[in-house]
Amino acid sequence: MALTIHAEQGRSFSTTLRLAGRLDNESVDDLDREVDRLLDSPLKVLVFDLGGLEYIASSGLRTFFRAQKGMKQRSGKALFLNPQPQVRKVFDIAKAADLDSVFRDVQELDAYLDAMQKRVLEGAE
Amino acid sequence: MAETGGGARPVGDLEDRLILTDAGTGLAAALDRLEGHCRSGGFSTEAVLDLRLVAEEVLTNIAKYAFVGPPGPVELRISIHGGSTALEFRDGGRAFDPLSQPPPDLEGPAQTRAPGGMGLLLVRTVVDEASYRREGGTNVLRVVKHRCRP
Repeated sequence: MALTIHAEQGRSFSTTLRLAGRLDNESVDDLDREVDRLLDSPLKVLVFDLGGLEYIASSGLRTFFRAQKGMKQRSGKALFLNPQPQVRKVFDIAKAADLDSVFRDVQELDAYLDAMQKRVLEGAE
Repeated sequence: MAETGGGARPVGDLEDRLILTDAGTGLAAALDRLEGHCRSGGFSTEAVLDLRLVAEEVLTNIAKYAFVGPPGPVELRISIHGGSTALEFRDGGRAFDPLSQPPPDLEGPAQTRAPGGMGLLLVRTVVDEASYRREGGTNVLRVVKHRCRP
């Protein structure tokens, strides 16, 4: 199954990439292009929604490492939502994301983003 | 990709041998064929995807590193017996034992770490047995995964 990528603008500072299918050697270039495009934009939070992703190989992990690094360089964050068992396993083996960057569901993620937004607003006052 | 099949065997058991003209161009077809065998064998989804992952990582590694100059052929032998699956990868590239490589450093935050070495780490973690030998001028990597059927 090929990879589908759906980009969705969230709050003013965040974009979600909803991934479905398989992220492998064949499809990773598509995601790389999308990530490059987003890293060129003034983004603070990049969310990867992994709910529909059934398979990931190390080539896909490489992109996620790169995205996390790119977001850190701009004092932003790359976050991961709802990884399914196979993807979760690969993430766990490679320690591909820090525990506080992975969320089981949208509610958990929203609570995190609310707190983050609050901190930003308080910092601006 | 050339292929040769086996003879009559118990249901679900199978021997297959694929020869990829090079590990890069024949990759998707080889992985799909392996996955087809696993699904026909009644494997769990986890085992199907684990075996695909192992083959993808090993073949990708061979395509990237085994050959100096034009890539050479790679042979993949698939052997499914009673719920265990053995994959044997044979290439004529330079001698390389993937199992003797040091594991990647997993310490520190993900956003600052180097991503190299993850493919072989995944292979070593999801299989139950792994061995490497050099046969003449051929690298032979053999991995086995048990309990592939639910």
